[in-house]
Amino acid sequence: MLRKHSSSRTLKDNLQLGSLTAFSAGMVNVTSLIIFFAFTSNVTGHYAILAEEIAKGNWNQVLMVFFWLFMFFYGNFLANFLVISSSRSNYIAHALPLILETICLSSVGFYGLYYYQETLFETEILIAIMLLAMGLQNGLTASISNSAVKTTHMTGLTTDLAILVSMFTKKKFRENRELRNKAKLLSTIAVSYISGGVIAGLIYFAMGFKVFFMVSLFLIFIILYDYIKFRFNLLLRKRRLQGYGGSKRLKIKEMWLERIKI
Amino acid sequence: MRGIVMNVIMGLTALSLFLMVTQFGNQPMNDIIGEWKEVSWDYEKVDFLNQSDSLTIDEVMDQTKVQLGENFVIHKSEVWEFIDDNTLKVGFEDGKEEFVDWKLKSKGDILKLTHNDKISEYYTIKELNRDRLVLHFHVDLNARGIVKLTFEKI
Repeated sequence: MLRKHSSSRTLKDNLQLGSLTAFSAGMVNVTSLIIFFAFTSNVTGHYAILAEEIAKGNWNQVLMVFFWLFMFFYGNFLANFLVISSSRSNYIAHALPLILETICLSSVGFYGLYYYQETLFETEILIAIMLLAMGLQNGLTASISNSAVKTTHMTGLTTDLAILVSMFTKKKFRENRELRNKAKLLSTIAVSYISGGVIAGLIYFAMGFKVFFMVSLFLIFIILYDYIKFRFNLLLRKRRLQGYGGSKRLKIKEMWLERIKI
Repeated sequence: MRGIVMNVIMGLTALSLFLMVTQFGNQPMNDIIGEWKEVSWDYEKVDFLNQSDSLTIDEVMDQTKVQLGENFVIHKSEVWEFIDDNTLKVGFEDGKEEFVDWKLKSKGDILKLTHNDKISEYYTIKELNRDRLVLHFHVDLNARGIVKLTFEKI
């Protein structure tokens, strides 16, 4: 799910990545809305507010909203920069933005649990950190899936899904496997996002700020899933190879496995 | 090399914005502190106002409360004093006083009031300057109508 890049990704890779990250985005967005009364996984509303505040001449509010938008922008920038800069391992390059996101969200949870006094300044900064985290996640998923997976962009997703449903009224489009796969991916992301939001809402009312630790655990699962799966497969293959005892073909296979090692 | 430079620029921009926010981001807190006199209380788009002329304003308020839920507290001709320790002193017409906890949320445009019985009210601050404070009762999207409270600084 995290190792492959762009065109080498299968539908299954995108479904796994899309559903899991959309689930965490839904959790973060609903939690921020309940606690801070601000959206953190989508910025369309912030753009509208920025324009409104500029029109009203509320420059301190303009500054605040611009800071939030910049943090989301910076998260996206950083995620893509990490993805395109690493030449050694796709996995590490793709896992790094998620590690940073985990650090951001657990920091919000930790601060909220032990230090948060509900002052305006604290609220504004915690929202900024959550926007950075969501930017990192959105930048990563969009970057490695060649923009097929956008886990926080529900406006675009709903538009694309509606267009697809409309296309499916014609038989020639219904029979198009690529379109069916796209619809499956988009609907999975939408359902995961809503599920994440509902579950986060329920968890928040029971556990408060600890909900951020749950999201962080979820992200750690995403990071480790590929690593454990890859290591496990590698181990199985090596065992199988040892059993055959070294024909030329198997040695080449072993060399190949070594080369793609994480 | 260019990537590192861009990262440094981005980091410095984020840091500068953060410093500016620490300097100017607290403006709504500063503006709201002080004593405010409630000058008007409006409720728009309520059906039963058109249906019957016989309802008194108190009956309308009671029905509004049923419609919007128990968290809706009716404020009439009150004096609100926002104190910087997050205490709001509400002065009623009959001379009684109530102390409520107040907090600003989001970017300072949501006012949360928590009463002693832990009931919380939420208002959207539609206008806040040195002379005027306009609050809209923050309701769920499915509730129609806007409850608007207008205050003037004393």
